[in-house]
Amino acid sequence: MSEETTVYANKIKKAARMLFFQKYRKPGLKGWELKRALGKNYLKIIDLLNLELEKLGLQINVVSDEGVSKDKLTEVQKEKAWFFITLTEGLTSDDIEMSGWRIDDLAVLAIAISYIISKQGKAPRTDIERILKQKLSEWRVNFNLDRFIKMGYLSQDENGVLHIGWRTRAEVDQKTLLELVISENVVESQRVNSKL
Amino acid sequence: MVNHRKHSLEVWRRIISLCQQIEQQGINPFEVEIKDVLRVIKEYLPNLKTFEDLCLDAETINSLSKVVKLQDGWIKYRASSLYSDPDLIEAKLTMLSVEALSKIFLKAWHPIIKGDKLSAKRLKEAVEYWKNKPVEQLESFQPSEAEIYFTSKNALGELNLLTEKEFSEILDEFVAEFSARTGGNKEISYWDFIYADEYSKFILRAYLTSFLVNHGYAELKINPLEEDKTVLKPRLKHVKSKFSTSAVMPLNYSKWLKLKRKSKD
Repeated sequence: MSEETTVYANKIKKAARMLFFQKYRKPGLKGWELKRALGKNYLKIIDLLNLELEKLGLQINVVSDEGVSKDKLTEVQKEKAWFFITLTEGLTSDDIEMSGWRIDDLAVLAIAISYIISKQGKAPRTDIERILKQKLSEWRVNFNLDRFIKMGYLSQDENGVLHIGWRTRAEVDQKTLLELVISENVVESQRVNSKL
Repeated sequence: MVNHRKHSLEVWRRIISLCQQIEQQGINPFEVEIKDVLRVIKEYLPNLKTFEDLCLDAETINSLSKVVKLQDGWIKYRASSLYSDPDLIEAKLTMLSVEALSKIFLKAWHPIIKGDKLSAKRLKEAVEYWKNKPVEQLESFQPSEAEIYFTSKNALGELNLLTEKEFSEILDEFVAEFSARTGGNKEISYWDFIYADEYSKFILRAYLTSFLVNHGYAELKINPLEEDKTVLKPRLKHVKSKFSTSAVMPLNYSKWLKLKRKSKD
């Protein structure tokens, strides 16, 4: 192996270690940290690592705090953006069962996130609670909303308005979520629900 | 003249309030007809006299400029791929079942993968901890030999390590019991409500009652002079208090025995 290849291989391993192991209270790393550790060609190393991760069903996702799409980020914006490793494909019901998530929890997230996106990224908490209380008990609605705010899926300001959180921007394909909500067959869903 | 000025100030304040509502609650910013509002402001401007009046005018223009910015964002959003009719989305979310929504979410969800690590510093702390443990203390612990066997769901249930019902169902039943016993509006003695024939159930009921209070179903009124007169009162509106405080309730075996003797009398 040539020296240059060895250097790149070592940097790819270093990038993987840095991205996999959580350093701060939230996972992921900022672009400038990767640049400092890997050099000015850090984006090339991230691309090479991404190729390896794709074989395992993983990918590196780049999320900016300003909400700019990752394809439109400039070099400067990428240094300020967060880099995470996420799953490429979605999860199955069996995966969820083993990880301890309940279907109620996922439904709360689906409703809250879809509703906030449809209202341009912010909506009063009371509006979301109103929809959720039609499906779940009141204490569970409040418990879950508070939990998801803590986890970073949602954020709440001092006026009781909920916004999309950093974790939703990192983990949720918002366009796909909205398309699936719109295209889902309600009659079929209700028939399945009544059978259950 | 005074009335004109007062009326003008009232109009300015209403405009500011409307702009703030639009900004905070995400209402359609095109609800405000900027041209009409500016025409009104221009019309009433001669009525403003004092420095404070002019400051209010400046604040109004500032609020309107924020609404214009929101209108710009609104158009850009509608042109983007994330736009969809909010009423349609709300109707769909209301009609879809919990199972369907969870399946939809799974298809759009790509969770972050991360690993936890033990730093060298923490590892050193752990080594120091075990090194400093007295040898006698470690040697005094002699694990007894026991036979390994498989347990059953019933055995776990008897040990209260597994319940038939989910916690949420137990809590829902507890809320219903509280409503029935208080009739929705009467006070009930805290100790009478949590008392049960078995000590373990007494503790469980106290634990469940803490959920009632935390989630705004009940108000706990503590009498600092006579602890036995602590009562629970149903709340008409289930509102979580913004200012949380802690209350310590002494739950011990002797307290339970005292309540048991009282219930027999």
